[in-house]
Amino acid sequence: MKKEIRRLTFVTIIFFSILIIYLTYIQGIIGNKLYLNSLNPRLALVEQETKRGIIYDRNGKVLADNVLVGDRFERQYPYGPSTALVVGYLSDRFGSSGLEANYKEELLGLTGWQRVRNTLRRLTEKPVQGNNLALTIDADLQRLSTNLLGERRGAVVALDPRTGEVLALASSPNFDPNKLEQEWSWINSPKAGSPLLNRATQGLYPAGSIMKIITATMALEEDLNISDYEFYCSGFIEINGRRLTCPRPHGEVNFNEAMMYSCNVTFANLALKFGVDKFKETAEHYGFGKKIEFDLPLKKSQATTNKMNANALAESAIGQGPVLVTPLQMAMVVGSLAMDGVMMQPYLVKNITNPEGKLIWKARPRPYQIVTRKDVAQKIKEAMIATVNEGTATAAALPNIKVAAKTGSAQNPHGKAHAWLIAFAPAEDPEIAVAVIVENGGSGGVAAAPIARQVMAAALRR
Amino acid sequence: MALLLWPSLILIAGYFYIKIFGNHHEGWQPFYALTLLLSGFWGIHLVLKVIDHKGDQLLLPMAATLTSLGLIFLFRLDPDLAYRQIIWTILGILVLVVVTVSLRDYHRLGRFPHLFLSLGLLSLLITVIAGTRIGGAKSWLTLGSFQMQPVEVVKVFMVIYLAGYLNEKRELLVQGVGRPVWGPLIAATTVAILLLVMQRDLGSALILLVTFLAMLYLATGKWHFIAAGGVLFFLGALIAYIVFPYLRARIDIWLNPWEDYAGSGYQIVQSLITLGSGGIFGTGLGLGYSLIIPAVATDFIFVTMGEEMGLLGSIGIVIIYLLFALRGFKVAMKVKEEYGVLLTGGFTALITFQAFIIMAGVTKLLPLTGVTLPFVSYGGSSLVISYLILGLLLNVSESVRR
Repeated sequence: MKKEIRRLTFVTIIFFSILIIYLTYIQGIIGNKLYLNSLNPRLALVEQETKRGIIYDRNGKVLADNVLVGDRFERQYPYGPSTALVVGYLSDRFGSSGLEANYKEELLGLTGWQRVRNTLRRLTEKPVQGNNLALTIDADLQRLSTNLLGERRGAVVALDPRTGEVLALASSPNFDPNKLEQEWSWINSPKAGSPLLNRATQGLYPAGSIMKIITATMALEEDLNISDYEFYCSGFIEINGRRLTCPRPHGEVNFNEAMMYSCNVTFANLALKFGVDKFKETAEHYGFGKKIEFDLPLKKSQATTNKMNANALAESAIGQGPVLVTPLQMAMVVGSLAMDGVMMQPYLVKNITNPEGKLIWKARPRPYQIVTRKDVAQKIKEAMIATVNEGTATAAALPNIKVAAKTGSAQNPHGKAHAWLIAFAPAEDPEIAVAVIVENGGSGGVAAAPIARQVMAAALRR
Repeated sequence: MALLLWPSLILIAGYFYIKIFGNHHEGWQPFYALTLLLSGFWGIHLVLKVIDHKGDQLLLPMAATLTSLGLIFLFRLDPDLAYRQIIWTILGILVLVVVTVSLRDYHRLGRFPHLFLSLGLLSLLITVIAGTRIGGAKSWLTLGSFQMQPVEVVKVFMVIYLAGYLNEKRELLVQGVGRPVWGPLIAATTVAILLLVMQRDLGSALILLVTFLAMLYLATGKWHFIAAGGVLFFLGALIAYIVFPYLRARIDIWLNPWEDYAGSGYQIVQSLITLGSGGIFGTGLGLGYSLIIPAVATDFIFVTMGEEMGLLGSIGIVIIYLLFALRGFKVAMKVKEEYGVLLTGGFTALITFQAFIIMAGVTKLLPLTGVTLPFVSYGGSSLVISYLILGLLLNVSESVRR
């Protein structure tokens, strides 16, 4: 029996060791994450006893502040609906969203040793204040972008392509976070069109012709001389018995013209010529199919599916079929072309300061990915400049400033095409990159281009 | 026995905590409570010295440490419960004294295995028929204003029965499953487990099964009996999963409590958040927020300890139970005759696996089954029986030295 007891002891030790390891995981490793879970009622107590940090825009304008109402602080948002989907809301009844939710650890002063210090302060009944956030958002540009969308559904993203700073991230419809309680039932009614959804980061749309940027990259990487070739568009091609068409036969076109007039047949042919593997690889370089870190939850964009036949490839090449993208993703794509192939990691929070104003964290711009070679990016840029000068994107042109752009009109099952425009300016030395989508707006050159033009003009005037 | 200093220090610290932060309770003086408990624990020591009891020197201090910690956390959760638990503790101590004084020759237990079996099954049957349902399980007997959980004592009876029967029929059992001696053994265990399942006391059923398998292994030395038992259990669980909706609900909650975080998953979700909020060092005694968890003083008291003492504290508790197991099995190693080995092995497995099942249950390592944390959780039946088992363990351990 001694042997049996020894084995039983051994089994007991194993069981208890597993429990100890598991406890270490729960309390030690993911403990803080569990603590910060929005279902934790302890946070509501902390919330009551803490003055939340202030949220500023890039120029120090206040986006979220605490105002004394009666004997308690209430959160106020001076820029109202325009920043609602970035900054988020805070409510006793409905919890929190946006950066208010994602950065509550900082805003409530719960990071690392600060949490211990603030707990002690609370115990001794001293006032506790959270950390302040300074965003990369330009409040005025954000408001302008929101106003330009107006009643239409859609999104506007403006980036500084040199750093990845997000200057504007507008989405429509939206809501007034100062009147959340009154508006809640309307916000959640089907007619409202999901105003809590940040379309810039959570909206997944077919890309339409702006996807031709990726197809062009793929083709130029394989054969840079393609820019000098002539292509022929008869108005359609037939693949496995199915037709893919252009609005009209473009006839003889060179590479720039194919881009300027957004010729479907030419780009479908290019994708078929260089194959699905190359297309997938190029799209992956641009960040499609990848989880990209961001300060707000960001949906994954996709360019392909697992099963890709020739029809699906041709459709992907012109941004239809399996293609689903977020506006932020497309702003990153156009930003990387502005930077000759270097895609910067996008971010929203510029720095964090403690209540005394001391800097405790600062964002550092860093490249996310090299998406393509410089010579390839240059060729595409030339074609995009031509598109603004005499192609589909003339409505995005600015006086005395060279703009590069590409339009898109994405077919979708919900009515008129979604109007897209992606652009950057000034073309020689880019300072701003934008992506605009107007849901069911029709032609990108008509509905989206004027919005992009005004956003770029305002940004460059700063 | 200098180790009794630790629970004493814990109790004294608890006393000062109550003095400083506690809300006073009518009719009770914390100082009297402290004196009572201290004299209780040191009293056992004294009694054991006087009667020249040569039992194990470590088991009692470990149990006393657990009970003292449990009392402090109970006080912090609900002073009323803590004061009642003090009475149970004193009762447990008295039972321990009675057992160590009058049952020193534990062989007397082995004479009537079937008596214990009959008593055990009978009380389970009564509970199934006339029991009261409290918190999901119909496992309580109510006599006037007095309530008890017969299952606690049934577990003890079953271990005594199994030790006796297995010891007597060992030689025959080893020869194979076809032998008729297996009949009563399997039948008795199955009936007991089924009666527990009918009460919806799945935790106790599981503990009984684990204890049975452990003792069977000790007696026969054949691991394939255990494997067969495990397979049968798995099949039984599978059938039960299909047949009983409440069991299915339990398993689904275990797999994903977050899906219904406000309803059926609430308890386990809040338990995990509570443990996470404690972090590594804990919030400190009384500064946690675990009162929102239903059954926090009984099944979930480990979570309160985890929040307020942190990871270091919760691992400490786990280690005390592990040491208890190691000590119990060490006694079993040294006992010269087989009945004592089976008894010690069975009781040690009973206590430590009950602790394991509930600690793993509230942390979502295993599906949650509501059982108490031995020596710690609030509950008279559980606490008194835990001390009874401790007394029996001490008695067996004494035979090693005699």
